[in-house]
This record gives sequence, structure tokens and C-alpha cells, in this order.
Amino acid sequence: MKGETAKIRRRNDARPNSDYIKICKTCGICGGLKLKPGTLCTSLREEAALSFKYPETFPQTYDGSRFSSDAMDCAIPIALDSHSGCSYNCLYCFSNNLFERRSDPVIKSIQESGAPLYREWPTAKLEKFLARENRDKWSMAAYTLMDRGAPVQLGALGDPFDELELHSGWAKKAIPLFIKYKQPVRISTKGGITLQRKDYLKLFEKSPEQFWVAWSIICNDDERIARVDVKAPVTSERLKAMKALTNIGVRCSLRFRPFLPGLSDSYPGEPEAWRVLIERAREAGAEAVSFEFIFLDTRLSPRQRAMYQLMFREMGRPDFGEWWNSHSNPKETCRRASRAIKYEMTMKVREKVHELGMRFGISDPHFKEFNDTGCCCGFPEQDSWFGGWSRRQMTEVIVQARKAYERGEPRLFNYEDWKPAWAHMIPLNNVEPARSWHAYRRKKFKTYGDALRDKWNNPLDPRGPYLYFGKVLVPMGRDLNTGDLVYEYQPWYPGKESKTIYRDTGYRDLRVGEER
Amino acid sequence: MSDKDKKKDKKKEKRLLPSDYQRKIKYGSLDNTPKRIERTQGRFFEFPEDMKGFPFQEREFLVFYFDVPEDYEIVREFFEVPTKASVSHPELDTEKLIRLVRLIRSVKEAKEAKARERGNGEDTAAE
Repeated sequence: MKGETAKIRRRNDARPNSDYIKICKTCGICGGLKLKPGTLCTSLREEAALSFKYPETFPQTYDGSRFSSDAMDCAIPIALDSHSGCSYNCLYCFSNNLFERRSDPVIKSIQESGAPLYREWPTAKLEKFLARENRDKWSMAAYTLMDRGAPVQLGALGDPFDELELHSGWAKKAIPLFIKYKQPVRISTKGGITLQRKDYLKLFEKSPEQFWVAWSIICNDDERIARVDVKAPVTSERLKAMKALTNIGVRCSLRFRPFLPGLSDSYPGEPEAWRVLIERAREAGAEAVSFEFIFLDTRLSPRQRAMYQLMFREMGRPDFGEWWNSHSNPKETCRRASRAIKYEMTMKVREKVHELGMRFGISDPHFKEFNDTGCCCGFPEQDSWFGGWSRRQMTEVIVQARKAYERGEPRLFNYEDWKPAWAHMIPLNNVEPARSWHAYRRKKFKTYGDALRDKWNNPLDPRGPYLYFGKVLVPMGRDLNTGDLVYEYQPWYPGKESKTIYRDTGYRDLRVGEER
Repeated sequence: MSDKDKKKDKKKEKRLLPSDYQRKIKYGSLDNTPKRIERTQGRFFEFPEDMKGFPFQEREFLVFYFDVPEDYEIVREFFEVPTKASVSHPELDTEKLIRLVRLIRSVKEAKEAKARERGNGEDTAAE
């Protein structure tokens, strides 16, 4: 600790820190450490602004195709990425954890030596994949979805229109390939600068309706968003690009996630910031809103931990982490607090979105039942390009369960009802990498589908439907035909959590394959 | 085709070609498979607003309160009630309690019968 304090002091001497004085009054940590106000924030900001030199060409060694690890409840589980990282340093982003296994000195040495940190997915390999020429298990499973018109997501880990794109021009070669092979693509981006450029807009002109651009924007204020989405274009730039795209026929939506209290909802001078942002997105042509509250990852690299601290300060709530975690299930890796905390804001956003005639999608597992369709990106049910999203996933289950309940015809679900065939075609280690040799040995004969079934049949698993969806899908028995648990929908209301009793000792009787 | 060949053909498992497998896969809708449901008792339930008069887990139950901690320990150890569970109400050894009550009752009945017999004997002797 002494060493750390000394290090911070050295930085403190070198840099002015008047920007943080206001936040210091609410934080008080620097004062407690007898440091100059704003010192910690300054040093954390240095971490956030870390940048790397780009080589002339990125090493062409990256495989940018995978199934999303959220495929359990994702309607478009095929995730593609142009590069192995992202040039934007958004404080909340899990891609910062790419450095999880690399200690800070290693990152620093890469930075200082100028060695390439990022790798690129060769477009030749992308074409081979799109042309159905691959014969590996992963590709064969993906083809079963793509052959039925399922869209793919581009930009699952890093932004496909960031600084790396401007440096390498990967998308200029990739977009024509998607058009050539008639592959619908949902792009997730913040690249407001890149996508206002004429040379990039021209790429989409040949078949604009084949692309859906989901714009991640979490704050209505340009100055504030610049401090959180470090190095990314500001809100107004993104909205301008959204307008430019919708003008040429590309479909767009607003990804209002992660929703950060203190930044996304309101701040001094703008008490209804969330409402204004949704209205501005509507004016720019967004046809849907995808909403989700922040989740806090618990497996943090030192760099991510520093960035979280900075984010809490920008939110004006330095103690947000402890407060949020205290309301979360401690068994969760991604801490999501409770439904009760998020209920009011979620309902307000939903009402506003419907009022403006847009579709509402919610990727937060809490309140996922309130999706308009089983796709939390906000895709419509019927659509020539984007209606082919996979229904064999848990978001569709919970939405259909809610709709059936509201019709007065409650429906029961077992695993067979939504079993995704692709998941049983690929090894588990292909989707969720084993982090140790022991874990690898345990999992090597399992498919990803087996893991999904295990989760379905274990109500104590934080990723099982009972806990993951906040006790809305409740196991009510076992199906003797398949041996799997059967779930029914029970609507949530404030105060329900304290009334539902789960008996810890009894669940073993319900496990698949065990004699009662 | 002879009968033998027909039988052989029946025994042969129909192999699915990749194209057949492809046709069987669907992602466009959820299924509603027929279910034979074994309902679980008391695993998940809504806690009744007023517990009085409601059957607990569709079973009868009794609750004992102990004023003396030692008495509680004696009973707990005798019935091997585990208390380390994170949630209370583990499965109790109800069978043991029933056996014990029946045993006590039979001993008591035997004693009473013996006492009655003795009483009868004394009466007849007196006559």
C-alpha cells in the first residue's frame, strides 16, 4: 500500500487534477489517503487512456468467429469480430478483461515495445466461412442456423468501426462479402465518426436492408459520455451517423445499455436525460430500443478494476460497487442487483418506447419476459431479412410463457421444448473455454447442449432459469418422459422475492438420472 | 424380396444422412412436447398468507418448543436432526418418531394389560 501511495504521489506531482474536485467531495478516498484531491482519478484515467501503436498491418492470425457465451438466451448466437480487441476504452466494457491473463507489466511492455497487441481475422477466412466451405464442427453447427436465414452479429467483442477499422479497412472488404452471400448482419457499434464517412456509407448502398446497426449509447450528454466511453465518438456524432444510415435504408436501433444510474437516467441540469435520448434516437430513425442495466463483473483484471472505480466516480456514486453487490446474488459472476431496484426505471423506459411506436427489447435477465418479441435486439417476428432469428433459446421461452399466462392459458416448458440443435453439435470447450487442465478434462466429453441441459435442471445454478430470470420461471415438477424439470411462469411483483421459499436440501431429488 | 430379407431390412437401423438431419432441425418455433409431470412437493411454493389451518407440504406436521436447551439437544441427537444446513427444515427422521411412539404405546398397553390381569387375579383369589 505504501508503494502504491508513493507511486500515486509521483503522478500527483506531475499532473493537474482540478477536473475531479467536485467528485472528490462525494468520494473522499483521496482525502482519507492524505492525497491531493483528484489524485486517484487522475491515475485511473491514465489507465483508461492506455493506447497502443498499430503496426502497418495487423497479424492475420485471429479467428473472429464463435458462438456467444450468452447463446443460452440469445436469438443471434453466431458472433463475429474483425479484430481481437477494441480501440475504444469504455469503462464498463468486459473486453477490457482480454487482459485478464496478462499482468499489467506485460501490457506495459507490449505498449512500450510497440509490438502489435491486436490481431485481425483474414477476410479470406470470412469468405470461406460464408461460402459454407468449412467442415469443422463449429462451422457445421453455425451453418444449420445460417441456412435458415439466421442473422449473425458483428462486433460482439470489439467495435467493428473503431480506430482499428480506420487503420486496416477490414469492413471495406467484409461488407461486400456479406452482400455477396446474402447474409443478414446485425452490427453493434459506437463508430459515429467512421460511419458518417461517404466511403463507408457507400458500402451499404447495394443492399442496405440486409444490415441492422445497433447503436450503443448510454448518456445523452456529450461531455459526460466522453469521460465514460473513452476515445469513442460522442452521442451527437453517433446519432448523426444513425441518421445518415437510416437515410440510405439501413435499419437502426438504440442499444441503451449498460444503463448507468447517475449518467443514463439523470444528472444535474437534465432530470429526464433518458427520455430525451430515446426521443433523439427515434428522430434519427431508430425502430427499436434494447435496454439493460449495468452488471458488474467479479473476475476483474487490475485494469478493469481501475476502470470500474473511475466509472463509479463519473456516476457520482463512488460507493456504487459495494451498494450494487450488496443487492446481488453473491453466487453470480455478473452481479445484476435485484428486480426491485430496477423495476421502476425499466417500466418507465418500456412505456416511453411504446409511446414512440418503437419495439422494446430487454437483454437484462431481470424483466426479460417484457420483451416484445423473443429477440432482445428488438427484431420483429416477421421480416424478410431479420425475421429468421433463432426461437430455440430461453428468451423466447420466457416471452411465450408470459404471453400464454396473460392469455389465460398457462403453458409448461421442459428442455425438449426449446433444445437448440446446434448446441448439441459442438463441444462445450468450444463455447466456454476451460480455464484449467482439470476443468478441461471434466468437460471434454460434454457438448454445449449438455451444459445448457444441466443448467436447466439445476435451480440453484445462477445461470439456471429460476435464478437467472429472477424467480419468474419456477420449477413445478419433473417430466417423467424426459427426466427434465418442467417450469411454469409466475409473474413478478414487488415483494415476491421474500415470499418465495426455496428449500436448499431438497433439490438433489430432482436431478436428472438419479433415482428418487 | 423374401421374408428373411424383409426381417433383416426391418432390423436395420435407418441411418440419417446429413441432409435428413438438416431437415429435422428447426429453429423457427418452440415445441410443446407431451409431458408426464411428477409434481414436487414443497420444493417451491408460495408461502401462505395465514399458516393456521393450512396443510404444510400437503402433509400433517407438528412443532415442538423447548424451554431447556439440554432437552432440545437430547431430542435433536436422538432423532439425528442436522442443523448445519443453510436453510432450516431438513428432512426429519419421522419414521423413528413414529416407531418410538408406537413402542411406548405398546409398552404402556402391555403394562395396563398386566395390571388388569393382576387385578382380575386378585379379585378371583378374594372370591
